[in-house]
Amino acid sequence: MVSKINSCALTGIDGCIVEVETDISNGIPSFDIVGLGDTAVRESRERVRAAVKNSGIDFPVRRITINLAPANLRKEGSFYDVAVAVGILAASEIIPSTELGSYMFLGELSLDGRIKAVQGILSMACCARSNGIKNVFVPDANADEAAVLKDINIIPVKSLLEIVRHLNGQEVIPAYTVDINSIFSQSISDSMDFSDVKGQASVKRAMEIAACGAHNLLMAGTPGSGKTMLAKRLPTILPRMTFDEALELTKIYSVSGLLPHKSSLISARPFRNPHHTISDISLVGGGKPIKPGEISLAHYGVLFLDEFPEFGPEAAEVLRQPLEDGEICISRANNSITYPARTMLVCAANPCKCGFYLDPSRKCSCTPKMLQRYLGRFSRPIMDRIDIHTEVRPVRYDDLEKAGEEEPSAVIRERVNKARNVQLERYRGLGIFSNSELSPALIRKYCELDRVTSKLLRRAFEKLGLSARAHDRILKVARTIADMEGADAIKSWHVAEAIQYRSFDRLVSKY
Amino acid sequence: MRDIDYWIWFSSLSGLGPVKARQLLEAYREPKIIFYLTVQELRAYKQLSPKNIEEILNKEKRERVNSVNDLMLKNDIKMATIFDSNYPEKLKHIYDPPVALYYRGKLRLSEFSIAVVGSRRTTNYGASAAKKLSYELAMRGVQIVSGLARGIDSIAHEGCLDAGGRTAAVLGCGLDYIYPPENFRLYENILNSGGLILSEYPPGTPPLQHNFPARNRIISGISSGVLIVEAAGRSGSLITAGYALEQGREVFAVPGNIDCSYSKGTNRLIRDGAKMVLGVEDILEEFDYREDVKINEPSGQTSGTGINTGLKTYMGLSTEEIHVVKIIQKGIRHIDEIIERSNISVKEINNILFMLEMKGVITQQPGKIFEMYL
Repeated sequence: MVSKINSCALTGIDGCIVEVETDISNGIPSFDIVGLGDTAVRESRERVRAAVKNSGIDFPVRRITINLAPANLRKEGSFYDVAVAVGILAASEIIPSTELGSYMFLGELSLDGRIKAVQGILSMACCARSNGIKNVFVPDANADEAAVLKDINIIPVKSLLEIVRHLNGQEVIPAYTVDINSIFSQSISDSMDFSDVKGQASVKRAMEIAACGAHNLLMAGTPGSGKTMLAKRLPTILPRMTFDEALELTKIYSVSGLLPHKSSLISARPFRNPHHTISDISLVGGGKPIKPGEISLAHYGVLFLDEFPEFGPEAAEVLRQPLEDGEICISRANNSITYPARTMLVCAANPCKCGFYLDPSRKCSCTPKMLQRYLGRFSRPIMDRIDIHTEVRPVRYDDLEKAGEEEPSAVIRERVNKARNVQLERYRGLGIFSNSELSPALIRKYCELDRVTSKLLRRAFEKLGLSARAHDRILKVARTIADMEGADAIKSWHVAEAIQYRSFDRLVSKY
Repeated sequence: MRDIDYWIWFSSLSGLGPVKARQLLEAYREPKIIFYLTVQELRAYKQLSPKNIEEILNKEKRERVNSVNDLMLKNDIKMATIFDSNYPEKLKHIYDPPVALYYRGKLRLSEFSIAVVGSRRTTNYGASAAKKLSYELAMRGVQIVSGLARGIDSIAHEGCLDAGGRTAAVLGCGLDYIYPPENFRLYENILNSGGLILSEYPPGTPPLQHNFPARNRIISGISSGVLIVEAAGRSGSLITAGYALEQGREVFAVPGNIDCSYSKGTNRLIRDGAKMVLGVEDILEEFDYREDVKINEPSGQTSGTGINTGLKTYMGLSTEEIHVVKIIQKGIRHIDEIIERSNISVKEINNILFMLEMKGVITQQPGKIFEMYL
């Protein structure tokens, strides 16, 4: 007797249907699993045998062969346990096999028959949905995560026995649902707000522009000037995530096993703050099995690199391509996986080695050589992808004492939404969403300057010693500033302000 | 060899000392003649020790002239001999003037200059006193002379530059060295503002410890008076004070706490007869110096669409731009403070500051600091 059970394999953050075929025939009793499984899959034989037995069901003492089809796809992980067990029960006619085609089974078995949580449930449930499978059995602990999908039935189960009783019609488990609106409204009560930051008007303005155009940002400032505090609040002024964005992001967290217990959808934009000792692989993703890196975990959010020059030159090199493409393709000998990585990069750095170069009240003890060497550590390729430079100075005591006149995040976010909508409208059908993604050809099309303005820009270049690479960046930022005003054409004052955000270029041209 | 090459050679004879060098010059008039003197002729000149003679005949020193020449060309260093008309008049009259001076910038010392010196390590009090006094002196057109060392010296130069004055720095090494190295910005600022950097040592001379006390005699020598801001019990600035007395210059000192080790030297100077300085008037009255000579105080007067910054008058500025310039003139320099004071929004202030910079009225320093363009 042969049975076919649906399960799922993961490639990147996407699932792929795997059919678990079970054949039980006469012969010398044995239990084999074929179909390119890794050690975890092969070991599932022992878990399944014990779980079935401890659920009070006789394990068939016959020749059992399991095939995971397609047999040429490598399968990793322990979540085939439940499908294998159900396959054996169906093949030995303990449960009816007639309707099994509309079910998918996911989960890891414990020896006593209980079902444990696994990683990547959301991706696999999405895969079931897109393949027309109506019902998905998921471990009870993963129910919240899978239940964000509305048009399929998510059946949470705690043990193998519950599945048997459900399929036999003895005790039907109702489909599990969650209220998505409540999840989204929960994140409104963010614990952080822009109004926490006192003073710093010029930096806040720079951050608002960066948020409006999704521009990458560099903050230079003395130690303790509040760079990290400001960066952490950047997600609170970015537009709220849409359901599809949240779904994609949650998938990434789900396959990395980073989804907090009992949580369903990640509805707040992520803020990732890796330490500078991080390896290249954990920054962009990789390893065995392949996992998403920090840049993917910051998808639709903010990747914050504090002490940016301390990140090695390799770290900067590997970030280059994903920053450009919005995704990262990890190619290894046996397969290649693409993770999304559409993130806003925010770098923070001391302006010099001792950190006091920009401090008006303290003296910088760096020699020109030291300064030169320090500036040399800013990776050129990454600096080329940063549109806005801003300088943060230490908070003054006067600013701390001032109370209650700072703008809250919600007000700023309102303006950001408006500017983003202008961009979405303009770039409809072009495959880009914000000014930061404009290619040189599109810059020429959308960032045209009138004669007065282009003359001003030319003069500024000559006078301030800006490099050619600054040119396109200035135009992009000027476009964003114009969009914030709702202006169609870029005017001289938009360009003038954009030039103010190239301070790092000026510093470098000085040394 | 050209005449100047003989001078370069002659000025590099450091073992000779300025006094003997001058005597030789007086006897023979020209370094060229000294260059070709034979051993016998040199021996006949009684004041010279065998070591001195050896140095004069030293081949290496003679060959080094070319490399010094290259360094002078490369670093735009010029030379003034004691016979030249632009050699500082005051310096000629001290006991041991250098036979030649190497300089960058304009060798033009004003009639009335004050040396502001002090220790390398300073207290906040010393730093602010140095800044305030040199700024106020420079505002009244007094040239500030100092040694470009760390601490008080640098602050004195900065104070003078802030006031838009031309400052003079005397180094203890060749002018191709910037010592201490972190002062390279100051070094450039001095030159860019029309100031002067000079040294008696030919280019290529490293900053040797024993050069510095000798350089102090030039600091006091080219000045009308010497102000010591802060000096510990044993400090190089006390050497300068000693030279000043020898050369007949006025010695001024800023008083400090009697239990502060940084003020021990200055307090002792005051006890021993140096004039106590509580404000610039104490210095100025000593020279009968009337303030009407030159006052750099920014008047901030506006006329139509222009503004007079005290040094220059800018025309064609908008009302907001003038408003912002006035704020910056008051010493409010950081963008956030300018925003606060002017009540102009961030996006407009960015625009205004940029336009002012393009018009050459202000300059932007790293850290979003804006200063008047002098």
